[in-house]
Amino acid sequence: MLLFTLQRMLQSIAVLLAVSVAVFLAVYAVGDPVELLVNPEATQLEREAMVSRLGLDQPVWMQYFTFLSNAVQGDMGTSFVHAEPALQLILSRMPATFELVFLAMLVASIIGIPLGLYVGLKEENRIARAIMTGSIFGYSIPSFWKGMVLILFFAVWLQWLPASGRGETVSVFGIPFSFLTVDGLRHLAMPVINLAIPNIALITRLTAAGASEARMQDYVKFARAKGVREKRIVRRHILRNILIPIITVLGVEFGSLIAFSTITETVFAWPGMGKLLITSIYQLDRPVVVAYVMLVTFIFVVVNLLVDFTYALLDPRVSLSERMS
Amino acid sequence: MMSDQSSSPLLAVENLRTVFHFADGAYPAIDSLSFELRAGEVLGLVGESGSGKSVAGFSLIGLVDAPGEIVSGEVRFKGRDLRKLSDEELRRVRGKSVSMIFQDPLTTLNPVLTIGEQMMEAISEHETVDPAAARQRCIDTLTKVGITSPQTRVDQFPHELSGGMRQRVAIATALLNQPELIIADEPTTALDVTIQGQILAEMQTLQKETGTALIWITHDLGVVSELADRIAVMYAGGIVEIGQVDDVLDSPRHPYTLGLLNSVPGDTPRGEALRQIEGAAPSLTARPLGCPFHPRCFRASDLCRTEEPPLAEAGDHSWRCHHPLDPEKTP
Amino acid sequence: MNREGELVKMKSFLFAGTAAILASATMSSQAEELKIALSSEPTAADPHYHNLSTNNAFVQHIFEALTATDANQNVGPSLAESWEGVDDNTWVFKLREGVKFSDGSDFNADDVVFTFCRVLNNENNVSGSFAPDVENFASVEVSDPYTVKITTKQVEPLLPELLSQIYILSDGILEHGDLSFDPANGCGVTGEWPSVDSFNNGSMTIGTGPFVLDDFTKGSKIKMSRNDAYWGEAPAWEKVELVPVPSAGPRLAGLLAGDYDFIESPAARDVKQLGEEFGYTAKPSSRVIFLQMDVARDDSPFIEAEGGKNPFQDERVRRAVAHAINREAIVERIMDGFAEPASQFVPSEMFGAQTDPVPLTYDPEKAKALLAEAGYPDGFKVTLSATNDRYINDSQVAQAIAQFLTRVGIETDLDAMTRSIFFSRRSKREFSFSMGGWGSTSGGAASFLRQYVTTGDKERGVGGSNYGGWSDPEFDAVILEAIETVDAGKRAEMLQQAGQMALDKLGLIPVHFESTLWAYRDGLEFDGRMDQYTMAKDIRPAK
Repeated sequence: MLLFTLQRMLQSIAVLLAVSVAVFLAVYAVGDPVELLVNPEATQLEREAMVSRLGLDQPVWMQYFTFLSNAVQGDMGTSFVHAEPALQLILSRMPATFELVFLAMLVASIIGIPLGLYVGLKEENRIARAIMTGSIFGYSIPSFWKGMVLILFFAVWLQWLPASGRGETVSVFGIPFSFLTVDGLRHLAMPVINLAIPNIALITRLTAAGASEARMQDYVKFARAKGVREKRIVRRHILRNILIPIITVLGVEFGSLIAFSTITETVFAWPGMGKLLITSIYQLDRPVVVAYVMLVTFIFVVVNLLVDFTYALLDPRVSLSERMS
Repeated sequence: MMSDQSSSPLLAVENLRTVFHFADGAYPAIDSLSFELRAGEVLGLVGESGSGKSVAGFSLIGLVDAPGEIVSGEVRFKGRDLRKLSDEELRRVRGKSVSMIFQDPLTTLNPVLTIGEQMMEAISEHETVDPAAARQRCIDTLTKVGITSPQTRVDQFPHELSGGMRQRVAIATALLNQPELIIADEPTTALDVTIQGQILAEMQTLQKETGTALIWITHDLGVVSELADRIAVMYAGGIVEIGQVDDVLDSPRHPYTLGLLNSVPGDTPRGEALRQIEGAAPSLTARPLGCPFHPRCFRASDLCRTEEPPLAEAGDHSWRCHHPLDPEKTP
Repeated sequence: MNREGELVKMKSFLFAGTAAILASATMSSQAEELKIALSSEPTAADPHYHNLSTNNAFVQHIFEALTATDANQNVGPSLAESWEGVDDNTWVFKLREGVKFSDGSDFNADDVVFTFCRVLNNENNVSGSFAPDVENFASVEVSDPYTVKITTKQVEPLLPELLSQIYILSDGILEHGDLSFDPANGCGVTGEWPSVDSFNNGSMTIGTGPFVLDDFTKGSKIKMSRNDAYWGEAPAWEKVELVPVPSAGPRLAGLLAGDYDFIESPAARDVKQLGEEFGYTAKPSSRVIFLQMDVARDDSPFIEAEGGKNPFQDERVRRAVAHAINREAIVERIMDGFAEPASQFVPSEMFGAQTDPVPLTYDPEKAKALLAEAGYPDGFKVTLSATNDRYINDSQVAQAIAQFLTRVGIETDLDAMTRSIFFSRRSKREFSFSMGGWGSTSGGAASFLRQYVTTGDKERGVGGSNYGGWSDPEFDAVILEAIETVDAGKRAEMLQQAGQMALDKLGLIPVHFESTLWAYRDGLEFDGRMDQYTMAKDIRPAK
């Protein structure tokens, strides 16, 4: 296990380095952030002062090495727009995104797994087919549109929920979370639903596929031949087997959502990382964009590691060394 | 071993019919299947692949999955028609009074659960029992089927055991609740020849020890000739000949049975071509009219092509053939 | 009390409690609470952090400056009651007496000196636009607690206007000895200069303005409450909440849902469809949309013309372009009426503008005649470069312009791009013909003219946006003198003269002035501001 982790760490560092070069070049080759930052009425001299202050007068490779040497010391650069360390800025928005994604995935699992089991085990009936058709919609409807429709329906017409923004927060270990207050939950409801819908579809289909395959297996028949109750067969034999691929997909999906819940955060004015990313891209706040991509890469590395561990834990046939290849 | 003729049969199957639903209709996999089994008796159910023998085994305890469906007939076990039982009542019979062993040991066991858990659930789903006692019972049964260090094995996962060992586990599982009938669906077909022989011998011993009735489903006449008390030969979904093992093997009446006997490799003299029955077994959807064997039968006549043969009996030996073989004349 | 009475009491208590919970859970607008949705996010509560209009509008709720601009961008007194220019480089400001900061301390000249010193000792500041103004101070003398004399190094006629954006801090937020304007030696301050964080967390956010800061959660919301010790007219609102909602759709949805009382920049089309329960205000702003042509290069990259020359170098061609565009149509059809056709670069009410400019009429026949006269009877080909996400309906306006020009023979291809790319390419002078926007904030007519029309001169700080290379020495002479003239009357005259010269030669062509839109629930009144600032003190309950 230790060896495995070490090997993975080394691999990851190589990945992070490659990503850093790619994103750095991509971002620094495009556009001129000074134009967007400086007061339009600034004079030429003021502009030049800003350019040198931001280090933009250095050649690109020099800027990269400055960035790299700072990065290994933990300094991922300072945001052009917010004058805050880029990493700190992103991390300050992480709790908001985290609680949104976590709740969305929870809701999606609680709804998706039972639905998927129903469809997978009872394949041919009409309800099952309706669920599968519904899941196609859930997956295909553009996120922006359905977010707006949710707002229209619940906030404008019914006036049950607030249209956007994050609610009151409560500090847990110094980190502000909003799901512990009623106001916070009211604000969380719609963005969570919006984010959950395509994931419900995903999990339903995944579970259904797994369940319908699993129920055909000999070991299920054998369990029945032993006189095992259906409930136990579903819970212990089928679910336990299909949970493995489901959890691995969920893990990757979780990491992906943490990084890119941009649309939902934009529609609902949710002050999370995704919204920060989009704004920073527009404003050419390069340090933030670079730091963001690096952080996201790191998150994916960690998520993949955790998924591998979980996989090895859940499936006794697989050992960690096998996961390496 | 001679069966006790005075008591009523343990299992009496009458006109069992199971069909498979395809887009263009329902095709029978077994039809008019009837036979009896006495307590403690071993019946060998023999047939080629496609004869419906496995379907027959599953149909006895209602384990036929869609698109298959058991449509008619009776399966009387100790006087009760299993087909008339509710789902829950049938569940209680399975694994307790009637157990089953499957063909492929590599897929029979759930890869993510331990051997012990899979054995203990066979016990705990039928009776409330102290886990430690149940575990001990499993360990003891594993010893009985010839598994070494059963205390370690019981906590291992299926992939840590070889194919032969896994099949022994399956057998042990079938024995756990001391059933009165075990249905074994080609339990040695997927194993090495050497292991086959071992398991066969062990099954024989166990069967004699426990007095459990056994239906041994196989395509290999040779395998079953040692073990069985009676043999039933299946073709195209029905039993074409059934009787005491000696009667059937020494004086077969049905041409198909003769063909099977002749094609057992061990009997062919060295150098001679292996004798096979010409042609192939009919598919589910293309069952010939009249006697289903007629396309491959060297004795077929026009009658065979149009009319199904009636059941003929001679004591305990019965067959369905318009032109049965004469016991005096066969080699 | 008997049992029945208790039961009744409990029931009514429950009822009232439930009603109260329901009431507080629905509409947010109670008697004196105002919730405003902003179209962009203020990045700090530090008034000297970043000279962005979003930040300035927010910060002006809490802080004030010596002077202030009104709804039409004219300078007037604020914390300074009056001022006069003693000579070209010297100004004396008389401060208002009896003003208190929100922490109770008195406002006086020490606070002014402290503020100037802080502007020069501001590590975090983003674009440094406040510092150059203060760097130009040779000295700041305090003769009595309410008189401040500022001497500038270089002549700065716009000093009162520039001071309107240098918001005054209380010297009580730091430890200090005797204060004097001596930035090289710390001004007498002994404590640590404040960082942007100390303002964001509220500890040093002490101002003289109509509101005090309760909470600033970046990216989420800003909460303020009324400053009851405010010296000026008390605002109508006990509590104000500013919420940044950058996406237009959700912002409007919030207004419709009752989450917000007031929103910035609704889309023009949506505004017209609002029902009876809502109102809106449209105010013409100083933001002009204009066309800039490459006149410096003989061989311009995106022009294809007969003879291989650059047609934009001929004044007749430029005039043809100006007359080919139907500004009324653009205003009516694309801007939904929320714009004004422009025949000059600043609105006529602004300082130094032409009071009655010659209208640039829509006259395609005249345009074709001018083109033929200039030697282009069959027109020529050109690419128009524009943004598609910066100004209101920018890509549609650019498309319309391209079509108008094509009709008179100038075959125009439109290349619309995202603003970050547009601005960097334009500043590298990659374009031949581009559409831009400009909001004049200070200096009236001088703002546009000195930035876009004056020949570039880094040392003097002019011509920074003159990407087309327009150079008219006669014009330069007038404008350069104007921006150094302290006398307001003379300056206005000179600016008008310079403006007329620019319009005579049309080195750049004005198209229209954008109007700013605000929408709000019924029961509110708002006049709007030319500088587009949204401030709670300007929003009043309707009578």
